[in-house]
Amino acid sequence: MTNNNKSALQVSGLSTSFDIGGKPLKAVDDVSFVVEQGEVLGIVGESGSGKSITLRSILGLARRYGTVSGSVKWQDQELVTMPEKELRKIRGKEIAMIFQEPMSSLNPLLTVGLQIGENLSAHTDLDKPARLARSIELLEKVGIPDAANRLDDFPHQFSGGMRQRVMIAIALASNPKLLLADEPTTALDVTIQKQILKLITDLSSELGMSVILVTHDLGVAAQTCNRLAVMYGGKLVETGDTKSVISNPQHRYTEGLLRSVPENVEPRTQLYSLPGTPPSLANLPIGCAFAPRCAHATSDCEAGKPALVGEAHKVACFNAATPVQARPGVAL
Amino acid sequence: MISKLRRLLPHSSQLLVLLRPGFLVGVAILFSSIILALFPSTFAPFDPNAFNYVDLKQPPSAEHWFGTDNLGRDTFSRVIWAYSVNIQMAFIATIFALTIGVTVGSLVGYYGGIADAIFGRCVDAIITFPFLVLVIAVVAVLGPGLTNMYIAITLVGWVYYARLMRAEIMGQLGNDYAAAGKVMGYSDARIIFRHLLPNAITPVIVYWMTDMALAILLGSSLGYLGLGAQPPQAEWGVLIAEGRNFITTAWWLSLMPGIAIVVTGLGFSLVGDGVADLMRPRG
Repeated sequence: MTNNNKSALQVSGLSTSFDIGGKPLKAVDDVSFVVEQGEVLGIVGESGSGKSITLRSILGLARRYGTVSGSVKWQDQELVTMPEKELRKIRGKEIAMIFQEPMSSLNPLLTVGLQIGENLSAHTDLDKPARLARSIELLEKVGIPDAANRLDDFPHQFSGGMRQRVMIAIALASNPKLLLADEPTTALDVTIQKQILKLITDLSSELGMSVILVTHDLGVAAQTCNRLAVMYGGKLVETGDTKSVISNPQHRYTEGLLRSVPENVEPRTQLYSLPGTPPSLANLPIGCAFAPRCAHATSDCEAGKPALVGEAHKVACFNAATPVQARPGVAL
Repeated sequence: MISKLRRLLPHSSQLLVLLRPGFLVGVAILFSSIILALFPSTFAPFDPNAFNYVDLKQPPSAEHWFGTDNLGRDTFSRVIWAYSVNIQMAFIATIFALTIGVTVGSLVGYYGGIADAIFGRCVDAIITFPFLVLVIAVVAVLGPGLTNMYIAITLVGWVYYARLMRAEIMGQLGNDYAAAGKVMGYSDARIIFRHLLPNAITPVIVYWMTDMALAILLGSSLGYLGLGAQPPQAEWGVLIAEGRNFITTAWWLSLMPGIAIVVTGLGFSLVGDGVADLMRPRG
């Protein structure tokens, strides 16, 4: 895991800021992580913690709206400074992305077959009959029954879960090596959510594809990911193996998140909820962004920002929880 | 092929719009106007420019349905011949404005930034003036005549299409499929013209239908003012202007082309309304 030479994606010191009324707003602040080949990395955090922007910054989608600095290394190529034209060859071909809203992420005016075929013709040399065959194969792979007859259907003729499957099929069209999934199951109901997550993990292990799964649902992340990265206020606060982070959370925020999962609690007791609200990115405290909500905050926490330190399990906290404590956690 | 046809066909409930009497009347008017415009010689009983010094300023009769003018020309034939000019106005005066407006609006809406800021100032500058005044000013500079009138209307009119298109494209950009196109490595041109434009164009088409009716009115107004079509060409505005001097003695000279304008304008409006209703639930 620590062998960085084999990492598919290396993000280091990535920062993205937007100019809001002349004032810079740092949505992503000095974020570093690696994704190994075939690994599923989960980025977990509340709304507005910067997880989606991190994802979009990797592919250069945030460029148009803000300033991106730092480094994103994809197989020895630097994506942050790469010109748009070359980036276009990597987007969709090597790195694909799926979105939260399957309702709006497909073009409503084009048939599903046309939309899969479009990606195939943009990134492969297949001729028309081969594209058709591949489209059917892809739809079958993501579990759409009667695939051959559904190519001529429009997105509105599919249910939400089916549309997300179509989206995944389109993303898989050119055999990407990395799939960025931006809350892919948030808009779906729970049973469909399970199916889609299973589909993503199955495809990942079958195709050796790395996945970055962005979610606000710790339960989803725990069930799906090999490794977790917890984000708060635009910064990574804790990273490590899923097992280690869930059973042994060290950052007080992660700890609080896990305590709010209603499992292993006595009946008729009040559920735990993190006090306070997430800080506005425009108005972050000088010290640790979580300090105002943290029960264990010290004077250090208000004075400066803690660095992300540690070996396999890293944490950014001045007063981290002791690793031995047993804690009610999510069933793995 | 079947799927392509299915895509073009509106939903069955929307098809009821097609059976509304207003829409049917509009289609009938539009259809007959276009037929008259294409084949005026078949329907006009006389040469529109032939003088007849025997029958000067004759009131409507069995021979001359709309009477004759001070030179003995048959007003009915002149009104019929004017169809080809006035219907042509509806299309030519709008099609270039539509094309330019849709292209500029799409690009500006997609790219935003400096281009959008410059575009915004241009729009402000143009819409500050009343439409007609600006068109007259441009014609005055270029010189009167049909071609210059088309140029003037296009120069001013594209702004309205572009504004509408820009707003629609920006609305569509909020949908993930636009970002998805980008993520799939598609070129900007492909995203704009294949994905965004077809989804954004509906209101522009609806506006275009009403704009065609307005173009006929505008063209006749400029003809009346002597800035558009030039006499002796038969054009409704020109005909009304020619009859103006005889309004007390030969009322039919101005009234008949006036009615033609009203009926044709109504036809375009009715069809425009129907098209708007047809497209609204989808857009």
